[in-house]
Amino acid sequence: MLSNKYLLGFFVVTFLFLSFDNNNQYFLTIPKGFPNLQIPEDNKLTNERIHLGKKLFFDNILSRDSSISCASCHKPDHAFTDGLKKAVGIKNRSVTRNTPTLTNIAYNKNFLRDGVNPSLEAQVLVPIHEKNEFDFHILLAAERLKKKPSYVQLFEKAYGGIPTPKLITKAIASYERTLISGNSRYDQYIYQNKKHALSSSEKKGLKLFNKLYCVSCHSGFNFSNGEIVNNGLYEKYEDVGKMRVSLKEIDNGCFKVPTLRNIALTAPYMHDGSIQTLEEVIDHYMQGGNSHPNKHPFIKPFSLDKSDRKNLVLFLKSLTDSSFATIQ
Amino acid sequence: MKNFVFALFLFSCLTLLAQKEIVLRLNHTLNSSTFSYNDNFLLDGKQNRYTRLQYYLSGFELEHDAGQLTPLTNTYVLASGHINNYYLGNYNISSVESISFDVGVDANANGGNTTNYSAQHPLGPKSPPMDWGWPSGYFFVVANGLNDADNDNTPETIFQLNALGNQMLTQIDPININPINSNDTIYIDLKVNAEKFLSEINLSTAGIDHSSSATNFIMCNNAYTMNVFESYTSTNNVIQNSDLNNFIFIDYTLPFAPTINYHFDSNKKTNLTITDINGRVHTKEINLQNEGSYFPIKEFSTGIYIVSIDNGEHMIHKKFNVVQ
Ligand code: HEC
Ligand code: HEC
Repeated sequence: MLSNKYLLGFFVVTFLFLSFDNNNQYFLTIPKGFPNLQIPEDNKLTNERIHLGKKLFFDNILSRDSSISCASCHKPDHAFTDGLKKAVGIKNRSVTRNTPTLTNIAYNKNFLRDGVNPSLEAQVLVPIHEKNEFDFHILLAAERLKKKPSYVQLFEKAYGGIPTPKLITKAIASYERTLISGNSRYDQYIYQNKKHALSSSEKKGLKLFNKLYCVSCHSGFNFSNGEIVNNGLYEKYEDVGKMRVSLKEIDNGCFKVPTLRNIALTAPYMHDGSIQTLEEVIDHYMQGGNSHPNKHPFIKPFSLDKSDRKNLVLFLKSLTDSSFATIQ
Repeated sequence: MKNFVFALFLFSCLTLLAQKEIVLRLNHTLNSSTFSYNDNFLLDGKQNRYTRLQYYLSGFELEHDAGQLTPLTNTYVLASGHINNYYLGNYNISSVESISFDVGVDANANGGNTTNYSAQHPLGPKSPPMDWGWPSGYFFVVANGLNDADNDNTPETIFQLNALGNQMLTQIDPININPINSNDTIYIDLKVNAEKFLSEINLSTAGIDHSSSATNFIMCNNAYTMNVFESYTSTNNVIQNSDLNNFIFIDYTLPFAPTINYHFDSNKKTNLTITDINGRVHTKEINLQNEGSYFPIKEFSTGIYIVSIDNGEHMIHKKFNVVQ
């Protein structure tokens, strides 16, 4: 009998412990039609981690002269882009590429425009060390955070430790994993059975998107097959894309197929921000792009009349998730 | 049972006693003279100077005690031109016959993230950085310096060869060694012909190259083909007591956070102090090694500072500036 009592006590304690743990655990809301998101075993999501990561993302403290934050370039109301042709870092230094959206970023298998970075955690170091972005050092950043009692407390709550390079990258990656967008009118139409969520022009645009070859690269729930390909933007690329790491000619001009979600909010377009509007993007594809030995065979000229071109653009604009653009 | 535990205890004591500390001693040279950042060295008829030389070694294997092979798994060395001694671990080894290793980092570790290691670990975050933030992955060999492109006998043209990419990993065949045994330490002495990393490369036009380029491939491959690493019998086993070769050399890769490279010939511990020109003390460290790369994890404002290092016998100073 006595031992049963003990057993009961043990269960009660375990239950309390588990439920305490569950309180902290954060469960992502996965939109209808989206696959589950894999979260690394060693960086499970909790409210405290996300809260800390978000604070870091919006805090100028990570740039050397404390002038800019991640959010200076990845602005929430622009679906985490900046509206500039090319990004601008500390002391107005110009970055060589256009800021990409962080919409559904955690669903990516590789990172950066040319996909050469292996994880969200590892990617955090890039802007911190890059001369034209934060121009700082992760060890000095950790040291700064250690001097702020409020951060020391937040790190302790989130990870049970003091600010370290490892925990900085984990916290920011945790926040980025929550940047999920799946409530555009397109989603309401396709996944939420709302027949009238798209207008008839937008529905025509959607048909075109599928009939033309767009969907072979911009495929699936996130409008990207994740591949690194050449879409014929140039005959000669100033930025050679993936080739800058591989040095193989077949990778010249190859960039990651970007998601098209929230595309109306993320102009200008392409890795260098060289195309201003969605109409001009369609024109680029209609011409079959520029000739380049690596241009993907899918990219071929086609013709659209004025109204079809307009419908295609209207469809692309229906991919905007206004609830995502207003998250803070 | 008791007897067994006691026997186990005795056995563990004995194995612990038999363990020896293995130290790899990389005697860096430039055309067979002691390596230095301040002296020019001749290569292919031109004067050159190193401002930074760092490289990774991994995949160590020791042949010891009459032909036994022991791989030193998870042992990484981040070598610098001015640092000789690298601790490889404690092993049950009484005499070493040869050593083999790779220049670079194995593919598995190379695909990881520096922040998974502490700053003290060779694969941890370093300053100046040894990883290429963009694709992640380590610089296998970093050779930075000046070349006398205009043939006036003064090197002035910057070369910055930072090699990265798994394909750069270069195997070094076993090198027979004449180990120096002290009671509890085995020193494995190698000569490093540092100038040979740069053989067959046009340094006047190499420029700034942080990539997997053909040039960087040649540099890594030189480690093998040009015999950068050779066996070496240490002549100065006796600890020197001269300050001739003591120096401080500042690495300005990050102008806002310079790194202090220093070397004392004697193996006594050192103390380091950084003051500003008004004599205000900003950093004080005691019991540092006799040689190293000291990165003050501290933000200095723009200005001139003085670093002093002493080992109880000799004291050296150097001015450096910080540009925020
Ligand atoms: C100066 C502007 C700027 C700042 C500041 C900045 N980024 Fe970026 N970010 C960019 C640019 C430009 C790229 C694309 C770089 C490339 O492809 O080489 C990018 C790429 C990314 C990517 C990869 C996106 C993809 O599709 O693969 C992530 C994730 C990211 N940034 C997160 C962050 C985080 C986290 C911070 C703060 C620690 C940050 N960024 C700070 C401009 C910036
Ligand atoms: C062969 C694969 C492929 C096909 C087919 C393709 N794209 Fe793309 N698309 C890409 C790549 C790669 C990029 C990014 C190029 C860059 O960054 O320079 C891109 C970029 C875009 C962008 C800009 C995204 C941004 O955030 O900058 C839009 C819009 C776009 N494509 C729409 C379309 C449409 C519409 C079609 C069909 C007419 C289409 N794409 C067909 C590969 C493709």
